[in-house]
Amino acid sequence: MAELSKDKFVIEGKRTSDAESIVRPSLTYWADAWRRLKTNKMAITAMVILIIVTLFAIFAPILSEFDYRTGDLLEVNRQPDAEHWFGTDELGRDLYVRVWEGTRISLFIGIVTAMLNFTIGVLYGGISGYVGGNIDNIMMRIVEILFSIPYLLWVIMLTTVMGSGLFTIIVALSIAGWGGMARLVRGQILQIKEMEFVMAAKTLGADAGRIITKHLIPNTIGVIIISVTFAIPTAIFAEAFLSFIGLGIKVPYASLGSLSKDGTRMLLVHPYQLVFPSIVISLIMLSFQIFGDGLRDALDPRLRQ
Amino acid sequence: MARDKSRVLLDVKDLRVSFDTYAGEVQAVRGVSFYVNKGEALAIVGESGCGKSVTAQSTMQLIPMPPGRIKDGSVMFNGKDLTKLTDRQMESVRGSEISMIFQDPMTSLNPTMKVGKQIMEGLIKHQRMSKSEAKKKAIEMLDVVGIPNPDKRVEQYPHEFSGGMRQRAMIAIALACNPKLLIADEPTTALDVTIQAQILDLMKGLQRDFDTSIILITHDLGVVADMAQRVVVMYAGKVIESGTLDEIFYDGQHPYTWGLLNSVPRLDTNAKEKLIPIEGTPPDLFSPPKGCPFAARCDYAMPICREEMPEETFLTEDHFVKCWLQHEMAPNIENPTKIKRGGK
Amino acid sequence: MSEKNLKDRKNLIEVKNLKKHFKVGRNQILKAVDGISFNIREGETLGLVGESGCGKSTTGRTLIRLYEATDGDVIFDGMNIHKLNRKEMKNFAKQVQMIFQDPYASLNPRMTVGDIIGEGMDIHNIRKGKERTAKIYELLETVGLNREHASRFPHEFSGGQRQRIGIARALSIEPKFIVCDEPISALDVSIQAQVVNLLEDLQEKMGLTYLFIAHDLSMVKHISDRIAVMYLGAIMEITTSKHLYEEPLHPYTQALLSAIPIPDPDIERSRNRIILEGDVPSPINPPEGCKFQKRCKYAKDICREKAPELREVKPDHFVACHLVK
Repeated sequence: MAELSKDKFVIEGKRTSDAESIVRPSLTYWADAWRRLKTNKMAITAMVILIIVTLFAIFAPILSEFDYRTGDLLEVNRQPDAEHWFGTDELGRDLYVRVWEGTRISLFIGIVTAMLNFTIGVLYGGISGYVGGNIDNIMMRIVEILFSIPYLLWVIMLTTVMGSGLFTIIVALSIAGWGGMARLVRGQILQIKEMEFVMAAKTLGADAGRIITKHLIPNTIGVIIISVTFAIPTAIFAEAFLSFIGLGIKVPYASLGSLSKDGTRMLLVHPYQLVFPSIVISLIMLSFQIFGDGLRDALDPRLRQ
Repeated sequence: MARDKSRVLLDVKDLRVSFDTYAGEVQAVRGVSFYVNKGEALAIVGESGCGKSVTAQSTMQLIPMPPGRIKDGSVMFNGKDLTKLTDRQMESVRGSEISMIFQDPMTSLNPTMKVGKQIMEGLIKHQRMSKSEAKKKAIEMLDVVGIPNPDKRVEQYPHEFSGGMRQRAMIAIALACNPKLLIADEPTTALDVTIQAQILDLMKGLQRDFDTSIILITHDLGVVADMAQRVVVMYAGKVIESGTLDEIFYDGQHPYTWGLLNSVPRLDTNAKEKLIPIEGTPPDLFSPPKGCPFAARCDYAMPICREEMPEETFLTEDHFVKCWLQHEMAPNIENPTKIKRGGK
Repeated sequence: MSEKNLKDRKNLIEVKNLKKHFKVGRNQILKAVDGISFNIREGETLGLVGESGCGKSTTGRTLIRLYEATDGDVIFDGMNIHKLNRKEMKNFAKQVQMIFQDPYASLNPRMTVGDIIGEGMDIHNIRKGKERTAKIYELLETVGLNREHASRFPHEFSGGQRQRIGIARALSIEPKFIVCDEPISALDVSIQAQVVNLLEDLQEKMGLTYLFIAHDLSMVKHISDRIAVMYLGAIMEITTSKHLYEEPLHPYTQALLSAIPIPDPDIERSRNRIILEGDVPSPINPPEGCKFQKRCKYAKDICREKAPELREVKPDHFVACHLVK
């Protein structure tokens, strides 16, 4: 140990600033979630597929020379070829345009319904959970009653009152769907409102509005987003089912459900008329499921390390 | 160092354990060596995050892998290297030769299984007892750990037990197969003082009656003074001082050991003196500092401390310390607030 | 810290026969706090100790009206707290604060440390913009952190650092009185001393009054001027911390003191511990008479029949026990 010199043995004392510094890189909640989502190859693939499908739904009908409503009676039931990529239907309408037009309407229904569920559910569940007590009891009984009526019944009732169509479907699906979100949010709020940081905000004199918007909602948002991601495909599928049994979108409009229904009639002769819309709807459903699962792993605080 | 090899039950050498996280490798345990003699209680003390729990869990091969991995070192127990055993072989060691009790008696019992059955499980598996024999032994064990009406209690579920009773039941499970070594990871931290006193009393009695070795992991120095014969002080994944109970408490050499002892208020001293805390926070083992990890918080840090980790200096056969103050060129520093023997 | 002369200080808080009962299940009532009276003098630290379930945290929370009292009064600086209206409550909230037990649950994980500390100022419109930022930096430095920490999130800090952030938050609106609800129970010993020293320094500088709730008697003895010992919702003994240690009169206090291990091997070897039998009974169905009688080795018939009153047996030394003369 010859190289150790005397001056290395002079007492300097502590360096507290060193002892308080944080060496790990800072990560916000969202950056952390994104980091985890990125490592999930399946979820990212699903997300890319969803983006591509959405882009097609928006732009394909605009960019195509054909119109989804007007058919060419000389071109009835043509097999897919260079001109009509997905072929044509029995009225000579281009199926490529109709499939993407249908996707657009299906996605629209899915997203709008999910958003309505989200808005009503978060407000209702938030109030119910925050206020608690008897008001919570009454509000949750109402949800249960609404929940016990199947959505098919809502659709039939609303169709008789408002006539069938896009709007009716969205209203019916929303009425039947927000309860689930409300329950979820209420459960989360009940849990979080007992936590010490909420109590700390109360001690500081925070009012209900501040506690809900600054403390409760930001801490439930992850769970809410996951739930919305699963609500979209549920609504799309519900609409497809309604259209399939003839309660959905009316001609000349198309949704993936109504296209599939038209396709089944031609199944034996022209199978491609069922194949294309089915592929798209399956792709959407599958992608939403996988993406939702990935999102749950990324956002769920219980899995955070 | 001539220590009696025949009495050593567990000998851990140069254990290194890391966890892989998003930010990189966290070196939780960085070359830890210690041993436990037969029938002896060894305390491992240190702040949370110093690697004391990871050390204990690695001894039993209980750390989740991945993200954790044992990078190096050996754990010799009764002539076997536990790090080299297969999962199956390890299962027969766990519960029968080494048992563990945890901090939280609420979560370490299975809530859907009767307490008696949880004690019987090990007996049937390791000692090949029949059901009725195992049940008899389970009742006996509950009696040993001081649970009243043991024949009624074996048929109850954990939720029917209070916190202190659950910890007793945990000890009964741990001791059922008469293990040679009991690892107690903060066994009383979650309990109230009066219950803590009961449990410590029980553990001391069991150590005496069954000649069980105990590794006691804790940050409560009062508990250490009450229970242990030897002490290992850990900081930032390393052992920085080790010795007998009296050597550590009355003749501790590392400034960190002094700091730990000084930061506790004494119930038996009356002066309302300021406490002497250890300022700052332990280093993040994601990037451990070069040199001595305690240097940033040490009142006596020298330039050399920030450059190189000191070697072990042996003061007695059992007592060693890793500190540059032991070097012949270092100034002579005494613990400023040494506890005098016999208190006051 | 020298012994303060507290006798002639005026009371900041007077608690009179405070009760807090919770409904559990259909017909059961949990009497968490069952008729306690005490006062806290200006500038002093009153320690409140007891085992889990004794009602000490509920007392702290009811005291600042986080819970509504079932019965009894809390007089703070002349105001009856449980009778204040909403506006008066907001004003009261500026004068009292709380520091919580769990450093992991007491900070909102979605807010930056700066916003957590600044929240009180935002609520009461005290400071805005640059002034607010300056105050946040100042508070961070007061509690031994630095300004770079303001933009970080709570999960990046250690337990002791978080607890100091909690203290900075409590200080942000310059309160007179702080309820410290087991602020050190979740921390390491070396870190406990940091937090306790900080609390003592702040008290000296700002003239704060504390209610210090804990189950660790040695730390409570260190920080408190007077100590109240609680058991099953009732106060068993209140006196100065010196008296409590030198002359514990209640059998429960004696057992509690005896149970604490002292970090000194020689003393531990020679000590004879009083080990209490059994567990704390459930506060849903507390024993008749004195609440401690089931575990008390001195219990007599009178203890099983009548609950003892808290009475002053020596100057500034109150005990609730039939057997103490």
